[in-house]
Amino acid sequence: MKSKSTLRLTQTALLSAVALVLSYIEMSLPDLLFVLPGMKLGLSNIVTMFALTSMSFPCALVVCLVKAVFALLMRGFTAFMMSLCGGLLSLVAMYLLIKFKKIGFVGIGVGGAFCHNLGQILVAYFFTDSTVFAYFFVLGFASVITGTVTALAVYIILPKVLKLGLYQTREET
Amino acid sequence: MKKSRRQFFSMFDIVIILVAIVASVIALVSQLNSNSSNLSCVVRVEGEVVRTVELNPFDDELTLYEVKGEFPVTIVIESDSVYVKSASCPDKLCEHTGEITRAGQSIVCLPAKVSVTLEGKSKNDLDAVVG
Repeated sequence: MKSKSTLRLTQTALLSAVALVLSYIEMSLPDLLFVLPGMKLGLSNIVTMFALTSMSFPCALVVCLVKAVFALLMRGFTAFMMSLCGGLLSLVAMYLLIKFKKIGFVGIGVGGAFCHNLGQILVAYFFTDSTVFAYFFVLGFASVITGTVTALAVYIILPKVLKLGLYQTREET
Repeated sequence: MKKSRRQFFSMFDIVIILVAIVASVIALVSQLNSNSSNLSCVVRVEGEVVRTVELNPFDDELTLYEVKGEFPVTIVIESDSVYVKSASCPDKLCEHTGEITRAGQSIVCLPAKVSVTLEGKSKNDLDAVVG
């Protein structure tokens, strides 16, 4: 492999683009679908988890930052802080969980989703006051569902992408 | 291509799920107020209480409360419910939250840094409420 860094760059860019598209789709979904206003499926978390399991921490970090900047441009500073803190916390959590080989995809997905919500609630707490923790009950439960959906998506997509043989990945997954 | 594939679901995942659920329940319990008969509506901006309105006995001079600032928010306070009538923030999540009627419920508008909470009075043991 002569151009490993080029491949890495291209793949990171590609994943970032996919994350942005998913964020945008999610933004356009009507609120009514979900129990709580502002609640999201976390579709773009699929990309973060995919980047983390198939490539590396730096790659997933870039995807995370691109997502946050996108939120800043589309929805303003509050959304930027929410996306950034939620994303970073979830990234670190998933990175640590992946170190344990015994933990399955669901564990990584749910851990990531939970920490994403935790990060966002902490930002919300910083902006307002402790009343936002009442939201956390619903969000915490929701993260079990959204995390499982994320894990399922990565579990299905990952082997298919690897089979293409074009995708540069690190060895241990 | 002989890799020990990570499992989709393992016993350890159950532990993670349980931790998530327990943490959520703790968050809920910490916000529950025991008494919801003496409701008061508390409006906070950036964490500072700017207005407290008793719902019963209801002070009907304060049915509309406006929070000024970068994103003005209009809050309607009724004898049994509170809701945000209009907000000038871009996402309108607080408007979509709808009515809140029980102690512990809240409406939060993040861009305006405003939170509206219904609190049961028994928790903060005030001798008398003035104003």
